[in-house]
Amino acid sequence: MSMELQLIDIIFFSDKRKNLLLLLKEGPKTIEEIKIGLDVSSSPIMAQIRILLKEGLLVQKGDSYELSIKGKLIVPKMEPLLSTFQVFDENHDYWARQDLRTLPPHLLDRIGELGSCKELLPDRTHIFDYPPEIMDPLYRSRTVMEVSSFFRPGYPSLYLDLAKRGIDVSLVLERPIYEKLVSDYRADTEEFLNLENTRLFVCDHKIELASSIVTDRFISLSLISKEGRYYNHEMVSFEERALVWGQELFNYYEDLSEQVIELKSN
Amino acid sequence: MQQELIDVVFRSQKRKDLLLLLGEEPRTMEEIKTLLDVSPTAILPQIKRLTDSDLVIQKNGSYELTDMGEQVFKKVQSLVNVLTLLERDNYWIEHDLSGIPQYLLDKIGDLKDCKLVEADPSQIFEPSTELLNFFSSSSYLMVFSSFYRPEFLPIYTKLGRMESEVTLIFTESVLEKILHNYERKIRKLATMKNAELFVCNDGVKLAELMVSDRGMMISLFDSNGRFYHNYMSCSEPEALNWARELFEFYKSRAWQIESEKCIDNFVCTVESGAFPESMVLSLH
Repeated sequence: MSMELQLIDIIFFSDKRKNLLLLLKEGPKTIEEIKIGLDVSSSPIMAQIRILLKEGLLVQKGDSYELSIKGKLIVPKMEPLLSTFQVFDENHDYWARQDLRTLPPHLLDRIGELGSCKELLPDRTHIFDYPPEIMDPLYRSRTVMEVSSFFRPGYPSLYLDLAKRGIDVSLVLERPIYEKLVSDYRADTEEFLNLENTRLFVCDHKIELASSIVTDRFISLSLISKEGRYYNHEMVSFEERALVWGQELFNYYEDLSEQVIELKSN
Repeated sequence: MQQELIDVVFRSQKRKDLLLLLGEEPRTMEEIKTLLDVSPTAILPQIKRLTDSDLVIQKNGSYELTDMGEQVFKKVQSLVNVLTLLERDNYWIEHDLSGIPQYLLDKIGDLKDCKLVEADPSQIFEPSTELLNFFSSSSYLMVFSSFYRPEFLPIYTKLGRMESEVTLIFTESVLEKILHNYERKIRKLATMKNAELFVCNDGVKLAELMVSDRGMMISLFDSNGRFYHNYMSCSEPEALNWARELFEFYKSRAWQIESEKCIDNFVCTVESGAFPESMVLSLH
């Protein structure tokens, strides 16, 4: 085995060692803190500590253990790799089917931040609606931001309803969707715009992904398949880091868009 | 049931090598055979494992990474580059890296192809002819130095005359010493239109850094501040980019000597006589 694979074996192929390295990335820890942090007993973890000391990934300073210089160069590369692999592993077929290039490259590189995701599919009877698993958190959110390149029949009424309940609602719509909204639902759109807590943006660039909703409670992503097909689904994550990721995704499209203050008179 | 990616990628040297190879560009079977030095019977099952895991796809007679494969490749490469860097030389763990900002430490794997160049003991205090030759013809040259190396001054002026872009950053003590001994030369340099001269505070944790279109070299102190007259050098484009970024980092924290007036007004804030002799490479 090459030295490289041997080191990879050391850092990845034992959960105890892997978790210990990730724990020590936060800073030096005593054996007591390690036991509590990893919920393990002394002797099994000591065996792993000795292996890591021998490989030069850890050093002992007084009572505590910390990453060596070598460890400090290697360990930061583990986390993005593991989180990316985890996201793909949990929904392998989904990510393999979708066109990932529809995501902005800097956010695709950080796809691991989505954490644990779940794919939600609508009921047969409510094929155009959001599944109940996200309707509930949607109504309990303080802010709702959506980027969309396709039209859902529920749009004007759902977002108007959320806004009337005092939720801050921001929408970025691709130009054709915006035009459709204005021509088919002019009164609702005007009412939406007149509320204090709403913002509407129109985007003249192609929004490559189907849609993304991010609130202070969850993020939901809908992508388009490699063949350009779309089916109604929501890939949802409730993790803290995923919300930050989703916020950045919204900001990315917001920066490409123009805010609509009022509708032009016909 | 899909196998976990960590096993797909790292449980076999061949699969890992294949992923890294296809990360560069799509390859045909012939190319894979030659570049990895494998037989088709040995590599085909591994290719199949990667295609079954949706990381690789066969298109127009060659194999290439899928979108997912591309993401997996990026994360693997960033880790493997650091492992390669550490495996090739202990230079990095034996030296003080605190002069390198975090965002560049994160990319230190870009320096994986660096080779250690050790000074010849017989001429440890003489101009390094190798370095001189290396840098004597380039379209640009960036030099950061916390050493007094007067033998380099003629090169800077020569390159300046040849219209190469020359950017120099010296520590205060070094500039003072050069001013003391070579005032005319340094004044000339400071006023050349394609040369820029900067000064930074003493005590930086970077010994030397040079970048040209031909290559880069970096030398660091050890954790006790000692300097061993050796440096790491490389000509790979990633390493050049990395070195240029480090240079820009130091330039942004230095101040420019734009005119002769700046030189007239230059006062070294380090007390005279405090110039650390250990930092004098060439004693004139």
